[in-house]
Amino acid sequence: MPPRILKKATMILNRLPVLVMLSLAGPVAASEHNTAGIDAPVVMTAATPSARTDNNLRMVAKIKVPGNACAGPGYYPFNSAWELARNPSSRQRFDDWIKDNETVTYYGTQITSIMDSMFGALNPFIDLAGMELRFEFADGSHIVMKAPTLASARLRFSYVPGSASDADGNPIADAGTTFKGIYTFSSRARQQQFLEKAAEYHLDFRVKHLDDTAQHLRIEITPIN
Amino acid sequence: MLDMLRNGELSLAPFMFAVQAILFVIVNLTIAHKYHYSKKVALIASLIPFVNFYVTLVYIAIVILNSRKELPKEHKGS
Repeated sequence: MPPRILKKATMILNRLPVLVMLSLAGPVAASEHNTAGIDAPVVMTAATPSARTDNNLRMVAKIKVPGNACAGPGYYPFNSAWELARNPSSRQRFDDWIKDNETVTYYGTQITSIMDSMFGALNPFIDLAGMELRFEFADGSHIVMKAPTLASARLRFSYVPGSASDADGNPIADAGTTFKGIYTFSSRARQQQFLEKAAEYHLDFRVKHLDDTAQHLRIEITPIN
Repeated sequence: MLDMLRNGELSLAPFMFAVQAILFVIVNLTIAHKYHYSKKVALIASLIPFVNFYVTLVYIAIVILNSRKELPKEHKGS
């Protein structure tokens, strides 16, 4: 091969990584493509427990919340997903707690999410707009919080409706909804804890024990109309 | 300012567009000044939302393509 052509080919190859990097940077597109429906169902069903917990590309971190986590003196502690699912006013205080205790993750996730919603169209390989963080509480329950995108009104994490579930993956009904379906627990203590929490948050429902073997503790919950 | 963004007193999208425009104006005006292109065009193009990102890519491409080194004299005639 003549040296001139060889030199040109080398020059093109040298510039290729720069052009690839530029194309991956991505252009403008405020894409709001999050998963959760805005209108939460009126009745939470247990048919697909923890259906929205394992989208790994979107879910970037799992954060353990200590049992004594609290927004300040006098506030109810964030020791269970029940508190956030059933009490919408706790969600903003929980966002403050994340900011104070997980500052790097908090701002890192927000900046990445906003940047991807601005420049994401040229980067079809990974979708980072509206990234979600999973928070695990002291009792094993968990919720998913979504980072803001360019289309969000505020620079705050928002609770993903229907994402709260207990340690066994049974969904916890959001505020304004009630339970319906078959719930399975790994132990009687977990089952008891679930029912006690439901009573604590004033949910009215009927419980029918379906299977009382040691392996499968199943109950059917029907709302009282 | 972060608190204003968190409380919703300052809207997120207009704020980000403004920051983006300022950043692109700086980059594009610097390149236009260095390579003797029209600064007025660079300024106006950098202020148009959604388009300014592509314009900046073009200006960066100008820098990359102008960064070619001069070939040694013995290769010039061949």
